[in-house]
Amino acid sequence: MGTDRKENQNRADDKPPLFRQWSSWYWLVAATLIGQVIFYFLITKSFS
Amino acid sequence: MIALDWLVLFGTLIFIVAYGTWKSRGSKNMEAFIKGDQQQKWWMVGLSIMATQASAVTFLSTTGQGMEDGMRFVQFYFGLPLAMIILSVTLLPIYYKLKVYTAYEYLETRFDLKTRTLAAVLFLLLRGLSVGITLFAPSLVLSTILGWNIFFTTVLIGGLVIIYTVSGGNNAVSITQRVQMTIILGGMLLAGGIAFSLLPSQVSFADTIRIAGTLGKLNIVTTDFSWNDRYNIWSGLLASTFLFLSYFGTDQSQVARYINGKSLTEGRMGLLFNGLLKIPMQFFILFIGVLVFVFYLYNEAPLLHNAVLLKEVKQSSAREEIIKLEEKFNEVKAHEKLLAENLAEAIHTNDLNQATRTKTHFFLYKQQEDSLRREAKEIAMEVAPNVGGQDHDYAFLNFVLTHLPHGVIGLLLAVIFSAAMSSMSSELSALASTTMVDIYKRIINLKNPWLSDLAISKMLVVLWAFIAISFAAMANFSENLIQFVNIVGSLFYGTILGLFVVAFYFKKVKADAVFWAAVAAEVCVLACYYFLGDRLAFLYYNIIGCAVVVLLSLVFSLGKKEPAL
Repeated sequence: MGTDRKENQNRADDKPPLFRQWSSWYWLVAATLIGQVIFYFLITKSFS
Repeated sequence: MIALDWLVLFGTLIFIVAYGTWKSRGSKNMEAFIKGDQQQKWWMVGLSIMATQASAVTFLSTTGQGMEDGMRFVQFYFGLPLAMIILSVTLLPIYYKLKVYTAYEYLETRFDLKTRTLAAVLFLLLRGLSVGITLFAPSLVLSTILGWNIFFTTVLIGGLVIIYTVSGGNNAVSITQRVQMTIILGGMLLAGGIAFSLLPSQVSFADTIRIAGTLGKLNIVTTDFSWNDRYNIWSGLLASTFLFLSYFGTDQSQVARYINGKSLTEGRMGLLFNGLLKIPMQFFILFIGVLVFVFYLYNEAPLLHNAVLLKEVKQSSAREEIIKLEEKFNEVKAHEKLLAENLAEAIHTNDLNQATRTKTHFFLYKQQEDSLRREAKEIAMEVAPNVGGQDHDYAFLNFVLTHLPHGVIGLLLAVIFSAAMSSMSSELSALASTTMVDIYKRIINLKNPWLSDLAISKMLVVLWAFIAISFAAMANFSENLIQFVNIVGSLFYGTILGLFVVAFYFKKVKADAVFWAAVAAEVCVLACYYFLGDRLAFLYYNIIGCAVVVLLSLVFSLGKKEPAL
């Protein structure tokens, strides 16, 4: 019981900043990666 | 180098060491020494992670790579954000929950002691080799360019790192890395700004981009697939993800950075911070290399970037030969300059035919330039066969010393020293803690009445530093330095990652199966490298190692029943 309470407490402490869920941060990082790849691809195609 | 540069260089280095030692004073026990105070905020964790990965090689070799090979090396980092996300979801919560000292403790919790020890030993082998290279690379370039003895340079860098790492352990590493990373980022921004300002006034930023692009330096994303091509979008997204999963998830030098976070949240944010910033940072460093390339289109370029070596050749019996080569080289560069001006004009007037013709002409001269450089290198190798490293590893530093204003030269040398120190301190700290926690305390476990665990941990830092210094003083490499570090990593990381993947995703696999699968996988990877060599790009060895561990551990588990409880 004690351990469960501690784990629940840890989970409650593990709240991401700015967003409600961690998945929003993961999507943000993934979207930034995709954005960069597209941006770099366009640079490559435009200036080569 | 004038007095101002020496003042900036040594002032910066002394400040870093004094600040780190002072701020982290008072490690009272082994736990605080190895794990740190665990009060780091997310941005501190993030900077520390970045500083650990960014060694001096990153700045010396990557800029040179940008000049020579263009910007396609940035694709190598495409897998990094994906790895950061996967680790934030999977391994990070486990490390925080188990409150581990090292990553390998988890393997004993999940499997058994021998599996933990195997992973720890593989890490010690891999990192023990790499820390030598981390120290050797900047020592080689700095000692050559500054005319110092390489032994003095390695002892200077190693000695400075020992002072604060032994004094404050993991905390000292994190604290100094914050300062080092600030100096590194500030110094590189300044270098980029100055490199651009040194271009002729008629060449605008847009012209620079278009000239560099036309001459093939903005090849950032390459979509052609080939098994032996080291850098393309496919190897970057797939194979690099495996490399970075292993490096950040199972390499103690990185794990120690984020388990020192104040909480799981801070650790996660630190990893994601790295996932957001790493690619732009590498892009910028490569772009500095491209700016230097454009700079040398309009300004006198050296036949060899290793200026000290060139001078030595000119004082040898090969003097006349090298001077003739230099005259030819200068003629070729004069043609290239004219063509670059024509190209800029064609770009301005939007004359595509003229631009294409000029580009074709330029590449003919570029071929001659490359051939003359090769000849010069061959002559230089005959005169000084012991000089290691590739010539373009010297390009950025030679540019800094020749063309940047005094004061900035000292600062940029401090950047390179800082980068060397930041990664080396993490690596030494991780090597010492793994040796202490996973080997000494767990296996040897001597009851030592004279030395406390803290004292032994400190002695292990010194021991590993001594090994690294000895290796660096004796080593000699012809491979591009950053690639050599990555190749060594790829030969071991796949297997270590495989152990963690099985631990996390395949709950039915038991200790014996995964242990022998890992041994077989490592043999398989080394055999593949021996027989295939460069025919398979090194990044794919990460996938092979990991896949063989997973597959064989499943095969070895077939038919085995769980023992009755």
